[in-house]
Amino acid sequence: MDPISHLDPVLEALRRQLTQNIDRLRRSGQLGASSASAGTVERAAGAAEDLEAALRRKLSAIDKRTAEGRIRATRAFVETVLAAEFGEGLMTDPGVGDMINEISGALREDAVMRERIDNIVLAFS
Amino acid sequence: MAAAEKAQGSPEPGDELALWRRFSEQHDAEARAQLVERYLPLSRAIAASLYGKRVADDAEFADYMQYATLGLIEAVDAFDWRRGVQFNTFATYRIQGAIRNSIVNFSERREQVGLLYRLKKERIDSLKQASETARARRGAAVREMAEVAVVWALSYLLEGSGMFAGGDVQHTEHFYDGVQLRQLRERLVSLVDALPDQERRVVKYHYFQNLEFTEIAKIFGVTKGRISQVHKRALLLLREAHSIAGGLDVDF
Repeated sequence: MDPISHLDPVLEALRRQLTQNIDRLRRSGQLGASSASAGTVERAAGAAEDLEAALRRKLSAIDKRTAEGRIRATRAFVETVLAAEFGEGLMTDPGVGDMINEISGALREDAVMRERIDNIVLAFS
Repeated sequence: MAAAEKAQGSPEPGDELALWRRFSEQHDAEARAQLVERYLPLSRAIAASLYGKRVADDAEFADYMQYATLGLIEAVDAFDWRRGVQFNTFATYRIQGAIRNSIVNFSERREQVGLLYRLKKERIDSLKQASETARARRGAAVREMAEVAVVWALSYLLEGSGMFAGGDVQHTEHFYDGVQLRQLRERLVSLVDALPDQERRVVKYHYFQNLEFTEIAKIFGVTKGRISQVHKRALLLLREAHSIAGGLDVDF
């Protein structure tokens, strides 16, 4: 995943504070056990390329010439992004469909966002 | 109201007096925000208590919480610490009154729908603020849209989590969630406490207390637009926190 910014000193200070607070929560046991956080960070480095490849694989198979096709493509975009962010396993949860519907629906309800997502999905052909 | 008093905890008397002085004498918005935050467990406990005794199901717990928080804010504004009255005694009646008055007027389901709609719309407006430069190249546009989708997911996951964030009421929303989503929600709620002070408070007020940005802006003495910016930054930081803290010890 992309860091928020490496240039804004205010955000950098907030990120340092965030890291310290996470350490504090870990030490106090409030965060529970986690698995291989270093691995998560390392994986993030190649995530952008992986995401583009996954999107190309999913979106190129969808006919986006019709409005229905673009709706399906938007849903596939959201699903692919969330799988990359939270793991493929989450996609098997029975509640995840509602979440994907809500996000992709909101993207298409807003005219500005709809135009942007259409431009993106149309570029993957 | 014993549960409410227990939930309120034991604020340091000296610290609290200093906060009341700062608020009443200097109209210090930060002191006001700290006082409100200090007594949120009290308003939550009162909301839970009245919700447990409800006679109709018109309103949900989220509504009770919102009215309780608004009652708490009014109580902080109206309290005169020089009179020697305990704030929790003073506030308890105010909060109970605020909830009861609001629930009595809450005769139509439309109002509830209206609140949820307004909360959601604020989030959407906050999240769609995009950097113009990021749209210049396809790669940047994809990453930016992916970021929007992820923070939207975080917003969705936090939505309604106020009920179990306090640990005192069974989480009943998101009926179809399985174990993976539930654990992800719980992890995110835990990580909210890792956020910097301002971001943490905005998330808690908005998602756990169901306050609109306008109401939060009044607490902090800033504009609604400023709260919208802090909200978006909070979700971006929460995304980073999730990445830093690592995955759960559960095989999804």
